[in-house]
Amino acid sequence: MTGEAAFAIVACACYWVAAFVAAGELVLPARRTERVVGAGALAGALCLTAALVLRGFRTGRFPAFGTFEVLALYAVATTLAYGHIAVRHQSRGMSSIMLPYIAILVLCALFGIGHEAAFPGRIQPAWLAVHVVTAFIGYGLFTLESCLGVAYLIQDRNLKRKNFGRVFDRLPSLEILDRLMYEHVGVAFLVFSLSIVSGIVLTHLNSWGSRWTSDPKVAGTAATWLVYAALFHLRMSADRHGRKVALLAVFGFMFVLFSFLGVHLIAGSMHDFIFATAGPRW
Amino acid sequence: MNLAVLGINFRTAPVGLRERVSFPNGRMPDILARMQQDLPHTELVLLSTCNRTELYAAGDEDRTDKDKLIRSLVNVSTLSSDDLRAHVYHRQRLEAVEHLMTVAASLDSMVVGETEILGQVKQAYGAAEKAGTAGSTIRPLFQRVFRVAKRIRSETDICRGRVSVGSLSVDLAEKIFSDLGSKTVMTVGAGEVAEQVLSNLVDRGVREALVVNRSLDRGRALADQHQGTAIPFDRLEDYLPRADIVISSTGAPHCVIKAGAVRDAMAVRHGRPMLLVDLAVPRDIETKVGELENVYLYEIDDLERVAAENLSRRQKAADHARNIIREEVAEASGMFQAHSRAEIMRQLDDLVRNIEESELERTFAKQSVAPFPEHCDKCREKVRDMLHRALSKMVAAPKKALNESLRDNTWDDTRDAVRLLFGLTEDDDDGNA
Repeated sequence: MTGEAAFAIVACACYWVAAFVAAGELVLPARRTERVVGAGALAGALCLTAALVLRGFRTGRFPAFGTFEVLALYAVATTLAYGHIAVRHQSRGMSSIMLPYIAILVLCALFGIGHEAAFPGRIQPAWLAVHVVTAFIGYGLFTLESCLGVAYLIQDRNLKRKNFGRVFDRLPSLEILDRLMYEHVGVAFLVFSLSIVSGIVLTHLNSWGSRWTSDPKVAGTAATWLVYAALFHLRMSADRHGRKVALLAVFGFMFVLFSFLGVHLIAGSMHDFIFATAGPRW
Repeated sequence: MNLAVLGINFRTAPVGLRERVSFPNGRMPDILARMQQDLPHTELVLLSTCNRTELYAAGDEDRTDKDKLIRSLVNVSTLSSDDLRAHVYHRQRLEAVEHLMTVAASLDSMVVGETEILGQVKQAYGAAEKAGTAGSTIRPLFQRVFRVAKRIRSETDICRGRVSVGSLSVDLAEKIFSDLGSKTVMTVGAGEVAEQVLSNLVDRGVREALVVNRSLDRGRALADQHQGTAIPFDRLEDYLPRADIVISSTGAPHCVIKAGAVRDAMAVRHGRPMLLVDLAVPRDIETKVGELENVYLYEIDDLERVAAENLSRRQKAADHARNIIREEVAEASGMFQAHSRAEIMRQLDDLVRNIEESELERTFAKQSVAPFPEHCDKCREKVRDMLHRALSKMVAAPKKALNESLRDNTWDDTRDAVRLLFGLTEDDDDGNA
C-alpha cells in the first residue's frame, strides 16, 4: 500500500468516526463528544492533506486532477469552512449536518484513488494554483452556506411545528444561523469570483479564444455565480433575512453540485481531465 | 466514621418553619464555626436554600447522632427542638450519600431537573471550606457528588426543556435570537405571567422593553419598573415592526393583533424573525399570524403542552438518573470501606509487631538462650526476621481475603470473621450501611 493510500484510508476512517459521533448527537443524549468530533475532523483533514501532498510530490504537479484529488481537495476545503465556524463561532451543532456529507465525499474520493489525470503541461502553474485553490475554497464556503441554510430550514420547521426535540436543542439558533450565512456569503462570492477571473486569465494566456465560453462546466459555473450574486445582493444590499434567503442558499448549492460534479456526467467539458484518466481534450 | 444528614425540606415542613432555619450564604462560615463548637471533631456542611436546610456531618457515630445534630441546628436558629424534631429527616452512611447525590442532581427538587441546586450545593461546600469544617471525608465525598451531578446532566434528559410557561417563553426567545442584548420586547397588556416573562427577559438583558396597555398609567408603572417605554394602545401597530418578541396578555374579548398588522411589520423587518407569545384567554393574536413566514406564534396551550412534555421527559429521565446514583453510591461505599480496611490492616500489623516483640523479650530474657552477650544482638535480629516472616505469612491470607471481599461485596462477613479469629477490637470507624 502506498503512503497516499494509507493516509487516505486513515482520513476516511477518521471522518466516518467523527460523522457517526456527530450524527449520533442528534438522537442520543448530549455527551461531551465535541472533542471526538473535532479531533476526528482535524485528523481526517490532516491525513487527507498529507495524501494530497504525497501525490503532488510524486506526480510533480498541483494535486487537483483526477477523482481522488478533486474530491479530497473539496473535502479539505469544506472541513476548513466547518472548522472555521466550529472554532470561531462555537456552533458545533453544525457538525451533525456537515461531517456526514464530508465523510461521504472522502469515501467517494477513496474509491477513485486509482484515477490519475495527466497534467495539462502547457498551463501556467501559478495561475492554475490560484484558479483551483480559489475555486475549491469557494465551493467549500458555498457548501457551508447551504448547510447553514438547511439547518435554518430545519429550525424554522421545528419552531413552526412546535417540535422541540433533540435536533432543535442541538442546532444553533435561527439568528446565529442567519448571521453566519450573512457573514460567509460575501467571502464565498468574492473568492469564487476570483476563481472565475483567474480562469479567464488562463484562457487568455493560453490563447484558447472563445472556445471556453461554450464549455458546459463554464456555463454551469456562470449559473452558480449568478445565483450567489443574487444571494449576495439580497444579503448585502437589500438586507434580506429569513427563510427565503436560506432556501436560496440551499438552491444555490444544487448549482454547485451540478457545475462541480454533474456536468461531467452529462456532457463533455474542457475541465474533463478532472474525472478522466486521460489528458485534457484541448 | 459516619456520614449523617439532618434536614427539613419543602415536603416535610411548611415555608413558615423553613424560613426560621434558613441562613444567608454570607453568614454561613460563622454559623458553621458556631456549630462546630457544639460538634467538635466533626466535619460539617450546611446547605440552606428556600426549599431546604440540610446539615451534613462526618465524624464518629456518637458525634453525628440525631439528637446532637438537632441541638446544634437549634442553637443557630430560632426554632425550638420540638418543632424541628417533628419535621426533620435523618439519614446515615450510604443513605446520606445517596440523599446528597439525589439533591445535587436535582431529583429531590420541587421542579425536577432545575439547575440552580447544584450551584447552591457548591456554595455550601465552599462555605464549609472557608470555615474550615470540610476535611478528609467531606472533601472527596462532595467532589464525587459534583461529578455525579454533572454525569447525570450530560447522560440523561433531566435538565432538558423548560417546565413553566414563563421560562419556556424566555427559552424560545433565546433559541430564536441568540443575542437578546440587541432585541426589543413588547408586552401587550399587563397580565401576571406576561409581567413575569418581561421581567425574565429584562434580566437576560434585552435592549429595549415596550409596554403597550389600555391604561397608559398602568403601562407607565410597569415600564418604569423595567426601564422600558410605555406606548398608548392605539399606537401598537406603529411600534410592532420594532418588536422582536411580543408577549400578549390582555383581557380583551377579541384579537388585538391582526395578521395584516404583523404582515406589514414583517415587510419592514426584511424577514427578520419575530416571536409572538399569546398568553391570553380568549386569544389576543389572530391564529393566521402563525402562518406568516418568519413569524413564530405560540399560544398558551402550545406552551403548556410543551411544558407538560418536558416535565414528563424529565420524570422518565429521573429513573435513569436514580440508576446512575445507585451505581455511584455502590462505588462511594468504597470510601467508607477504604477507611475501615486501612484500620483493620493496621490492627493486623500491630498484632504481628506485638507478638514479635513480646516473644523476643520472653525468649531472650532466658540466660540459656543468650549465654554470650556479644553474639546476642546479631542472633536477636535473625530471630526477629524469622519471626516477622512467619507471622506475616500467617496474616497474609486474611489480608488477601479482606481485599478480595471488597470486590466481591462480602466485606462485612469477612471483616467480622477476621476480627473474631484474630481477636481484634471494633472500636475503629466503619461506614458501612
